[in-house]
Amino acid sequence: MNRSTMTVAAAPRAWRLPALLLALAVWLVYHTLSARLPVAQWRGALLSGTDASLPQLVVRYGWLPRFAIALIAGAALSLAGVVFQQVLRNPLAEPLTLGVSAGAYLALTIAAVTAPALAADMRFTVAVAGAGLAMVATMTMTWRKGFAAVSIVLAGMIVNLYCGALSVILTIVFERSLTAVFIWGGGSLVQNGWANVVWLLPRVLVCGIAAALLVRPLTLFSLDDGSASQLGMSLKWTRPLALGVAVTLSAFVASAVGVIGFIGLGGPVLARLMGARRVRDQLLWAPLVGALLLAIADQAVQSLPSVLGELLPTGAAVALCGGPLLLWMLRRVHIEAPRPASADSAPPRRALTVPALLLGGLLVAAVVVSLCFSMTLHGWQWSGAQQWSGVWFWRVPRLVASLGAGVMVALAGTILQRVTGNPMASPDLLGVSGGAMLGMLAAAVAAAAPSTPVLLAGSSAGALICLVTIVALGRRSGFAPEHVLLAGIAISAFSQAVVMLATASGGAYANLLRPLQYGSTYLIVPATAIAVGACTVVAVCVAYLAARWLEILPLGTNVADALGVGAQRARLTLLVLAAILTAGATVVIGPMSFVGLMAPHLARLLGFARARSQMLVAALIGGLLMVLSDWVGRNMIFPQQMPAGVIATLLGGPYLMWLLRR
Amino acid sequence: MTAHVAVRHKRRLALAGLSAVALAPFARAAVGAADGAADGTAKEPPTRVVVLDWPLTEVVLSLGVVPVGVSRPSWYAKLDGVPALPPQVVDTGLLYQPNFEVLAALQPELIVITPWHAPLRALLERIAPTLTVQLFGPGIDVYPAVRDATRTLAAALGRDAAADALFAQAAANLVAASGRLADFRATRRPVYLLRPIDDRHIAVFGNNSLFGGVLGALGIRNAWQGIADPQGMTEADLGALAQQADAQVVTIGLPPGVAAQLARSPLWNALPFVSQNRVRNIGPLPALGGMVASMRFADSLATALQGVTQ
Repeated sequence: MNRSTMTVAAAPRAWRLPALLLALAVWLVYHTLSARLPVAQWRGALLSGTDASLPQLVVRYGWLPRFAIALIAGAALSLAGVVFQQVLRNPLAEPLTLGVSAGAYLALTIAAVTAPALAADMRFTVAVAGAGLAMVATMTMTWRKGFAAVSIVLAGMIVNLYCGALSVILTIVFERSLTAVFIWGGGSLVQNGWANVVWLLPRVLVCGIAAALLVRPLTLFSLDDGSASQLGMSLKWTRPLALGVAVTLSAFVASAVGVIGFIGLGGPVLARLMGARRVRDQLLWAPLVGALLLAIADQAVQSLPSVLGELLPTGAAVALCGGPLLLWMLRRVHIEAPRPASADSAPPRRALTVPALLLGGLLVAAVVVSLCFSMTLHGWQWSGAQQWSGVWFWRVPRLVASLGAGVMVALAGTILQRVTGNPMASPDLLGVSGGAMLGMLAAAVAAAAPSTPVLLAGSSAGALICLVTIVALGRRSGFAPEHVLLAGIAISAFSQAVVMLATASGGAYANLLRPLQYGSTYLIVPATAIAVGACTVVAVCVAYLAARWLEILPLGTNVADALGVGAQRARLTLLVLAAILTAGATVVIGPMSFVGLMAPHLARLLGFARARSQMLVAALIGGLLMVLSDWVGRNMIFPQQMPAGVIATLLGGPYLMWLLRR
Repeated sequence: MTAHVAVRHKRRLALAGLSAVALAPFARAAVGAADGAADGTAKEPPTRVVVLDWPLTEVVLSLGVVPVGVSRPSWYAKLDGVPALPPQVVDTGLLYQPNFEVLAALQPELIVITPWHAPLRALLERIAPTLTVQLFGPGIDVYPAVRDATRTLAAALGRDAAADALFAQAAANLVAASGRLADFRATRRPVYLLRPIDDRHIAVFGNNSLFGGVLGALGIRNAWQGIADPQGMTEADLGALAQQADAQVVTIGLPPGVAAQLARSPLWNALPFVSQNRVRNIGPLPALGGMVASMRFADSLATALQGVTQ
């Protein structure tokens, strides 16, 4: 059995949870509706009459369709989540992680920049086309691998990050014309008539019927690929078909109401908590739970005092409530050995010396070019000794910080992927970079005039608090990898929601924070650079010492214990190490989704499978990628400064896609 | 009570107008004096100025100083900035991530920033003396803040006389606009100042915004009494606008395509100011600007609402 199974401590009382949700939803509906309209007038708002009063009209065309769309969207996202998790055998798979929303977001951003009138008029078409293209890209990359689950998840994440990076570049350059896209990205359920409901409902129903027809093949996905094939299932066709249904569902929802996270992840988990074990039951119950969840979140947003209610997009609110809810559930859910990973086949091993020397040489060349060759007001210039005194202060610290941060996240990523055995594990899934962002935001808001030391202190504190939280939660499960990752995702979602909240309102905080979110090597003073450099050296030494554990842990807890490595303590130590590495990098240059996720994969795909060599090559790749990205970011759209983390995605993405396709 | 306020308001406007007319010749003379003084005195006002903010760019330009460098000059034009920025002004990069190497190469004598640039200040000080000017912030009304900022910048740039002239011009502009709006003021209707974002979300200008301040100075009540962010705007849905059903609506710059979408929305058409045809549109204006933006708004508002008597 390859699939993750979750058992619940208090299964006999499982009916309490849905009953509680339902009661909460009914109470909230009554509360918000009666605040808008006296109960006696409800009939007039519901029945179509021409003599309705203004409050009745506002309920009929505003409140009611909003309630309806919350139910439909919640059900659709949750249903899509069940299909994704079943087909890909990964409890972390959801519409957001597979590039669907990112594709739609990119398409809308491009449309808003190039043809604003088109973007306003044909929002649905543009968003669905973007989501479809993103999924076609994912499928093309995994075609030759017969749509293996691991490949699809990886390809999906790459597409996700790549579309995200392109959107960020466009956002930085065209920010002021994208207000409408930001609101959409925050997931707003506001309605001004029944048009959206009429558009969304039939489409979701058709997809729901399609999913119901796929129950049998979906059930077979509980087995591993080999057993499923023996039972007569054609993986080559059923997997893309089922995925197609789920993607279409999430694309429709995304185009109608924008990006809404967590429901696709939390709905199915809650349904399982309630005792829905069989796929058949999950397909029925997860949509109901999802609909209730989104409706509750949306009604709660509406019953907030007006200031907050108007500023808070529902999508952000969902993540805001969903993060802690997921953490709370994790205390009760016991996840049994999910092990979704195990890359398809181990690539041939190679000798380390030549590639390491080659990469090292490239790194040195990149450093020299980055320091001396740069765009100026008078075009490209090679800075000789004369200009050096003028430019070193601006170039050397960023270079050192980029290099150090690249090395540290690459090491953190390698450690995480080896410890958790999950190819989706990346430093920002650990939640530490999310915590660092939260801390930085808190510092920026609290301090009247945010200065660099204040921001740094804030982000360090945030990273530390998150780390402590994760360790405290992980103790119960003996630091089971999936458990820790889910906790990390919950914290990341929470921090993203808060950051979204701070940036969606479009205030000055937004302009300040947005680049920091994506890895900007911009504000580095020599003191920071020295600190990062020292951290990197220490980190490399410690990681080298930990290499033996990384060889043994993937063999399983029993083997590790038998070999004299206390699996639990080793995992804890490695997780803390990864968290410190991530914090050290994030504090300086913001979270970099790409380098931490991809550098270890690149090292493995290049043929370095053993822990020590993988870490060394990954660190070299990480450093090289960040140095190059920093240089390109400084010069690509001169004089504008692009965040290095985003450039790293743009540079490294195509190569990784090519490697995956091979 | 409203009548009393209006009377007091008129008196203040009349005084301001009088003083403006009386001071105008002196103002012009003072410009000449300042120019003359600049030659002889020990400390000359800076001439090579870099401005890292678009509203502040408007203020600096309106004082008759052309900056050597500005963040993303193309955006100043796209945000409908007036006075126009001459093409030779150098692009210094993104608003909150200026390119330090470009800044250093420009060799400015003064860098003008907002409080939001505080994290950069230490680094900017390495290049040139840096002046922080605040136009908005928590608990600050933008309209008076813009006037203070204009004075601050005028003092720093040695352009006090130009500022005097600008203030006189603004006072005269306000008197003129107020006169044209007398009929509308008599209707006692509050006004929503709106900028639609898409067919479901609308940005509303609050009392602390620049335009809200001008509205108050013209003796008209803002229909939006809810809270707004430090820049004076907030985001609302159409249902929230139903609270002041008798209001007049003025939209400031409609994004392309949105007008047609709104016309199709049942909720928009159900709102009394729409069904009773009380929506006027004025052209795009920068939501945040200086004295010039305030004057342009007062003018446009007077044009839009002149002759509206019910």
